This record gives sequence, C-alpha cells and structure tokens, in this order.
Amino acid sequence: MLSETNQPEDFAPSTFGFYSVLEIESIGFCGGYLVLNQIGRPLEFHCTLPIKPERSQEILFGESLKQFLICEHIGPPLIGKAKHKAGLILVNQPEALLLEKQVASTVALIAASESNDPKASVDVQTADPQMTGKVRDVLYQSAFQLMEPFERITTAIDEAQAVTRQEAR
Amino acid sequence: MIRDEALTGPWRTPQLSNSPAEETLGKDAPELFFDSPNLRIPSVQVASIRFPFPKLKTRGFVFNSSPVPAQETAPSQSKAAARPKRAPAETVTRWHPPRDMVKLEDRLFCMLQPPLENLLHSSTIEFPFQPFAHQFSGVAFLFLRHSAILADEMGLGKTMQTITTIRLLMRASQLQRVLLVCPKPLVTNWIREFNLWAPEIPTCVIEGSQAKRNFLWNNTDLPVKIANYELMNRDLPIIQEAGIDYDLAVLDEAQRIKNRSSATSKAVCQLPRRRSWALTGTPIENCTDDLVGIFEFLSPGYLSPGMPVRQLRSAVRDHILRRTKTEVLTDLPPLLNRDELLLLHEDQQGTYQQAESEGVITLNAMGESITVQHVFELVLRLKQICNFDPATGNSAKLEQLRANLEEVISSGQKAIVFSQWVKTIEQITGQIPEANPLEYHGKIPSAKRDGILDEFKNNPNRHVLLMSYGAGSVGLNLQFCRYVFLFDQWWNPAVEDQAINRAHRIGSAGSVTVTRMISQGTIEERINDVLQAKRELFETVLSDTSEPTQTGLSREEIFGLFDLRANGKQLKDVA
Repeated sequence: MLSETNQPEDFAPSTFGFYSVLEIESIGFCGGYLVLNQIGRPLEFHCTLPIKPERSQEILFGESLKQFLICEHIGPPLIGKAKHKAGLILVNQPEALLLEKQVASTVALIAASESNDPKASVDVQTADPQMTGKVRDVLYQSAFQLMEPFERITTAIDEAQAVTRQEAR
Repeated sequence: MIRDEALTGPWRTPQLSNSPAEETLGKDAPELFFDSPNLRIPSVQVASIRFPFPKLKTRGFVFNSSPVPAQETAPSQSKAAARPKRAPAETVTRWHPPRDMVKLEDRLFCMLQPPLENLLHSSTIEFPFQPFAHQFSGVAFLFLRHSAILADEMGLGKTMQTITTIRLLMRASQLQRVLLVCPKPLVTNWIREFNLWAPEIPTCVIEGSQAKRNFLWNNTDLPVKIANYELMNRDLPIIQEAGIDYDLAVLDEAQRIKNRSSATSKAVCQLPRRRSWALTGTPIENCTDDLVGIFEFLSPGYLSPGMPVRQLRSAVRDHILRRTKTEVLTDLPPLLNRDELLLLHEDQQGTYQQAESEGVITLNAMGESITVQHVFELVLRLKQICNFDPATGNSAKLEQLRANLEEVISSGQKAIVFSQWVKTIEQITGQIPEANPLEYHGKIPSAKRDGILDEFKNNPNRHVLLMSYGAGSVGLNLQFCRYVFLFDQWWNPAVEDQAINRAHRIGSAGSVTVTRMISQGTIEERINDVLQAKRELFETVLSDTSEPTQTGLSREEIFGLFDLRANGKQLKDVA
C-alpha cells in the first residue's frame, strides 16, 4: 500500500484498471482485469480460467473464501500480468478493497450513485480514507461512464469462456 | 475438565465440577482414577490435509490498434481543452463482433471497446439531430461488417445510419472510396442526406454524357460517388477499365437485384469492392430466393436457391439487421390501418362480372398452354374495373375517396393517394379539384419531381398528392402527411408498406391513418388474402422467434384466384 507521502500531490492517473471477479454458477470464479486509457479505450485485458473451490476449501475458508480469492489468489497475479501499470484500480466488490495491500496502485471501490447530482455518478470508497477525495475528483472528471467497463469485463469473460469451451471440445 | 494427561492417561473423574467452591475443594481432595485398559484412548493419529488452490491460469491480451472509430480531442493547445469531455449520461451501444471474426483476441478487442456513444461524445463529430438508440446500434453493426444487409423497416433511418457509418469509417481511415448505387429518383435524396449528416464529405453524382461519366468514373479524388442502377449496365466496362477498387459499395433499395439473372444484378456483382452493404426494407418480397439474389452481391455463393427456410434463417442471421418501428420507436405516432370494403357501383358490378366470367372461360379454354402471366393479365383488367368503370367512368372508390378527403381538407391536413396506374391517377385528379391535387408518377420528368414535393409540402392549399407506387413508394420523406389512401393494392405487400412509410416515419406529425380501398367480393378481396400470406413469409424468415410456416405462394394459389385447374408456369414468372 502506498503511504500518503508516496502519493503525488497532483493525483492524475492516465490509465485506469478495472478489476472484477465473477462467480459463475457451476463453473466457479473468473477474474477479469481491464486496463483503459484516459478516454476509456482498452489497452489490455487479462482474465483467469475458472477456479472452482472444492467443498473442503469452502468449509475451511468459510465466509472468508471470496475475499481470499478476490484479494489474494486471483487479484495480485492477474494485475501483475498487466504491462500497463494502472494509476488507479477501480473495483466493484467490497472484498477487493483490501487488494491495495497487494498491489502498488491506489484501489477504489465504486458503486452506482443514487445521488441526483449528475456529476456524482458513482460513490467512491478507498482503503486509505485520505485518498477518497482525490480519487473522487479524478473520477468526476472522467471521460467515460465509470461503472460501464465492468459490463465489458463480464461480456469479455463470457466470450472467453465460450471460446475456451469450444476449444476443449 | 480434561487435563493434558488425559490424552495419554486415565480420565479424571467427572465429579469435579466447574463450580469455584468445588474446584477449590477438589484441589485438596484425593483424586480418583479408574485404570482400565478398556477406558484408555488410543494415541491420536494426525492426518495432514492441505488445501491448495490450483495454479492460476490466465489469458492476457494487449491491444494496439483499434477496430472501431478513433477518438479525437478538440484541436487545442490548452490543457483544459485537451481534457476529455465528460461522459455522456447514457451508454448503450456495444460492439458485437461478427460471427466470421474468429480470433478470440479480435473478438475481445471489439467487445472491450467503449460504447459508440462514448466514442462519438469524445470526438469532434457532430450531428444535426441526436440519433436514436437503434440508429447507433445500426452504425455499430455496419461498421464491423464487410457484407451486411440493413433491413430496417422504412422510416427508421437506413440512410442516416449508412452515412454516419461511412463517416466514421473514413475518419478511422478504413474507407477512402465509396460507391453508392440507388434508384434514379433517390439520387437527390442521398445528396441531401449527405449534406445533412456528413457535410464534410464531398459527394459526386455520376451522370451526363458518356465523356463526363468516363471522367467521373476515372477520378480517384472523389470519396463518394453516387450512381443509379440504370447506369450500372451501361458503365460497367468503364468502371472496370478505370481500375478503381472501391472500399465500399452500397446498394440502396437492394431488392432491385433480387433477380440474379437480371442485367442489373450481374453488373453490380462485378463491381470491384472490398465491402458490400445492401439497404432494403424488404429483402424478401416474394420468396426466399429474393434474399439469395441480394447475397450474390454481398457474398457470392453463400446462399443457394431453394435453401430450406430454417437453414437460410440461420445463415443470414449475422448479416442482417432488421428492426421494426414497433420494436424501436415506442413513441412513434400510431399507424391506424383500416380496410374500406366497398360495394361496386351497379354498372361497375355488371362490367366486372362479365369481364371475370368471360376471362375465366378464356383461360380455361387455353388448356395446358395457360401461364400465370395470362391469369395476371386478367387480374389487372379486373382491378382496373374496380377502380373505374371503363364505359361510364363511375367509381365507388372515388366517391368514398372524395368523402374522406373532405375531412382531410377541412382539418387542414394532407393526404397521399397511391395507385399502380398513372391512368387512374389522372382520372382522380380531374375529379377532386377541391383538394387541389398534385401528381407524382413515372410520366413526370425527374427534374420536376423535387419541385412538386416542395410545392406539396409548403403550399397549404395543396392537400393531396397522387402518386404511383413505382415512382413514389421509396425513399421520399413525407412525414407531414397524416393520411394515406391506397386506391388499389400492389401485388406485393412490401411495396405497399414502402408507400405507407413515406408518411409513417421518424418525424411524423401525428398518427397516420392508412385506408385500403378494397372492392368487396372481387379479385381485390382475394388478393388481399394473398398479401397476408406474403407478410407471413417475411416475418418467418426475418423473425427470431416464429417458426417457418410457408415459403411462398404456390402455383395452385395463384390459379386459385379464379379456381382454375389448368397447369401453368412457375409463380415467379409473375411476381
């Protein structure tokens, strides 16, 4: 995790990472990591093959299983594969917020806002509360819809799964 | 409580409770042991089980160039101006790769692009009007395809979608030379639409003397050339000699090439091109082979004549985009259809019955030599009688039309009246002076046609435009009309729909009422049933849900119009 002193005064990331883990029934967990440039164009995409925990693992890890998978087992290696280092990694699962301990980027949890303010399209939460304001400022100037890239990840994972299944036949 | 020793030695007595008083007492009390081999626990055997997750397998894709339109930022040196615009409120249009894009990396790259609205929002492209959502998805569909049919129902903006896609492809440096082929009356419409939706793209109409056309065909600096179908036969050698490979060839009203053996079809299929798009609201007019004909241009050999409907539907699904107004324009004013069944005048009735009975006798007398063409001739003759009695000029339809037009005129509205015959139009014109009608048909020179439409649109005293299906059913925007009268019905329901949609389209002023004038108990009523069957065929092939029911009209059906039993040639001779 970057310390506050390590954060540049002018926090203006030029690349954004979007990380999400899908839980697909009967298949397991699939991670997806999409790196976009400042205007929402894809720079790279990484996804995992499905991971299906065994019953014994589900019992052993209990409620912490999802967090373990998202934050430790899938997230760091997946994000580590990327050639473009994202200045800010956006996640849509609360479990992923602790990912910041594992990667050298600021991680922010975003969710669609119910606010009437058109500028505030998302609610923002960071692991380091002092970063929340800076991240929010950056996101509110974004050139693209902030929740939308997660839909792209879902679509891409579905497509990759379909192709993988075809290849396996 | 179990002491450590208990693991290897005897149990402590259970009488020792957890009560503090008893606990204290117990410390000083003598301990009791039961020492029996039967009560000893065997030593623990530890089984170690690890829970390793399988090694994480990943797939990664790093992207370089974009398959979709490039984004631009405003040309400005200031940091503030260079900052991307804020995101649009709605983002809906995704990029769906075509089925023939097989490489996973390419497919993912398409899917991972921002929605089209985002790209357009952050570019310098401007539109005269905010496009509809279905138009954005039409653009995304065309953009990624080398062979495609945009088969939207009339009035949904096929022209705008095509022009916008051409515009985006040109900005993405994927297009430099475009050839657009359309029916002659629509050339001016295309020019107008290009000026509206892509004013920065120069267009050029191929026309004039052979020397002039020769020059234009050979000119490589013209990004968009517009030519009419009739020129294709004549100028194909010039086009081929010019040696210009078009990045895109677009056929408007592509049903014109449904007949693969026609000279026009053969000519356009030989156009040198990389991408081929066809625009038509009616890719199937009569039978599924119409679609085969259009695909001969798009992707030769991809379909074959007589293909089973189910197989055909599956094959074309990825290449055809078809939306109807009811699907996409929920706020489009309603279309009110009404069939006006009219009894013929007494003298009309007599003439009709005589013509029909004599005609049937003649047809039956022809025996084995009868063809559907003969039947068709009788149909046309009877339909003309249904319009006007040839001897007296009486017309039940005209009387009803005049009554209807009174209402149109009194409410200050405008109406279009369609007929398949110029003669009928001329007969109507003279008898509805109160409507101050204008005529628009094949006898009107092309140069005068735009003027007639302007006059009809702008002169409040002009209430009626009398049009022939041939001249007025395609490409014209007459959405300021609230009433459409079909004085007679065309053989083909698709043409009829085209006519109706001159008025019922985007921008319609209000609900549009369509009145079909049908003479009761005549051939017109029987044909109406046939048209319904054709509509069913169209829906069967182009709908995702309905099951195939029939593939077209049988020879028996057309002969059945008069209950004829003789054999004839194939139906397609007529249709």
